[in-house]
Amino acid sequence: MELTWKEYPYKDKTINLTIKEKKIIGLTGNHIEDLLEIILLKGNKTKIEVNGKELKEKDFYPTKSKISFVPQFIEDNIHEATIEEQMIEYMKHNDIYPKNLKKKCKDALKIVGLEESFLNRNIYTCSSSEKKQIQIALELLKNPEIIVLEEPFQVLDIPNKKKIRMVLRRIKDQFEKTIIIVSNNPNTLLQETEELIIFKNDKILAQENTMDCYQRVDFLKKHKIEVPDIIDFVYLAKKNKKAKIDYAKDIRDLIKDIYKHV
Amino acid sequence: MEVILNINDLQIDNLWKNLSLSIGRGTITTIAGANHSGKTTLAKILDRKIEGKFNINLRGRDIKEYSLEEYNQLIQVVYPNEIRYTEKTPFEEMKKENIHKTKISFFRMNSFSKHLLEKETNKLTRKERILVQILLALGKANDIVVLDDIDYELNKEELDDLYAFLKAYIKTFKMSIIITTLSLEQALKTNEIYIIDDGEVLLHGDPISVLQKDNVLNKAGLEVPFMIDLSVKLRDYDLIKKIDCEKEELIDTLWN
Repeated sequence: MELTWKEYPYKDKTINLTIKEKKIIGLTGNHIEDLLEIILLKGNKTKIEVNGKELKEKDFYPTKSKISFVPQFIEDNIHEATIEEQMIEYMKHNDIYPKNLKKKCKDALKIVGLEESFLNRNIYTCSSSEKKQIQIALELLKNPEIIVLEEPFQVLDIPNKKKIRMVLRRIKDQFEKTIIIVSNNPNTLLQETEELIIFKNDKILAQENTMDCYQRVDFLKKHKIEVPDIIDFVYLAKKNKKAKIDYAKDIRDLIKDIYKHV
Repeated sequence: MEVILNINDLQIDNLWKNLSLSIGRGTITTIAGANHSGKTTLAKILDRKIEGKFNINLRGRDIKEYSLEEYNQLIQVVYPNEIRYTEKTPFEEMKKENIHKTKISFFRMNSFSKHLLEKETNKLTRKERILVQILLALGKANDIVVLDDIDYELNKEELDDLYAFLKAYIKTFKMSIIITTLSLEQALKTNEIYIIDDGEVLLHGDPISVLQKDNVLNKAGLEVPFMIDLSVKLRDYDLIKKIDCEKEELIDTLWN
């Protein structure tokens, strides 16, 4: 599902934005909660297109239900004793009535890489990455087309980050979902996303390929947008020493380039 | 340097084998470890929320010898969960807690904290609530404030401001700060680092000496800050001689 906001009224301005399908998109800037309201279809119902066609009033709620939000912290949303109970409650709340409840829960856990035994676990006994996997599994129960995650990699160590990265890529590639990662960490956004949306002072400042976007360092610095360390280093080397090195995503590529050019 | 806190051979089943560390007065110490390395458990032990046969000395006395009231005047722990304030403003919260006026004056004079004091507590954002918690803890404790995993609540700029504020504060009031964290990004700004892994102290020392052990840190699940990582790798390739944490200095070294 591709969602477009064309001349969408926002405060005293308008917003033009497209969420493309099957991408991992980064979202950063300030007052992101305002843009999230728009993306989660919590605002004005007009000037929105789905797959190039105007979103009609009757299709508004079905479309809205295809967009899921995974908040940074899970505990506030957990009320049931076990993960299975939580999943069943979630389905009731979202009017999802599958023939086989347990199978639906097991399948959702399987997609995020968790075993069936987790159904009997209490969320408070799970690790940070398992909690994140469970949050994603809960949202998968309603088979959304767009999943928005707030800082999914924060408070995770290297192996756990790797685990969540694999889950998100699998959901995008195998299940053809769009993943939106909301983060204020430019290093994370550079590594994890294909496209970047920058929302700053109530305006969409940029929406383009993440690497291309971060290479516009002068533009980003002018708008006080933090750039990834690796990009900033190359930018300064080029600016201060006319170094003939290329922008890189991976530190090993940068080192090879430095080795060739010093 | 006066050692203010000593933790000796801390042992907890399935968590720690023999964790020992000491904290000097007037220092900021980072205690870093991967998920489930026991950072929050340590914070709770220092908060006396977990009791046991621990050998921990504060000012040379076993912490259990202090009454809780005495102890809370010496050590405060800040967790990243939101707390409710009962007073209308953080300033009134401070008055209720009998925080010394010289400390309140410090908060009033510092640009980092002054804007928070008169805000309405029920209108504080999550970030502001945490910052107010930190101010209250600094105000209440005379010796040590432990900040348990609060760094992911703030962005880089806010963390830079917080660390500058903490440095100024501990210099004035001769206190110590312990920061438990997963992220080593801000660790360079602290005086000492302990890396805990698999129930014991894996590495200990000044930030540069600890952070350049990239293989050990990665193995423990921790990411090395970009500039250290780059410097270490460039040194391994014989392109530089010493570790440089500043981008422009490293660029000068490489291209001069």
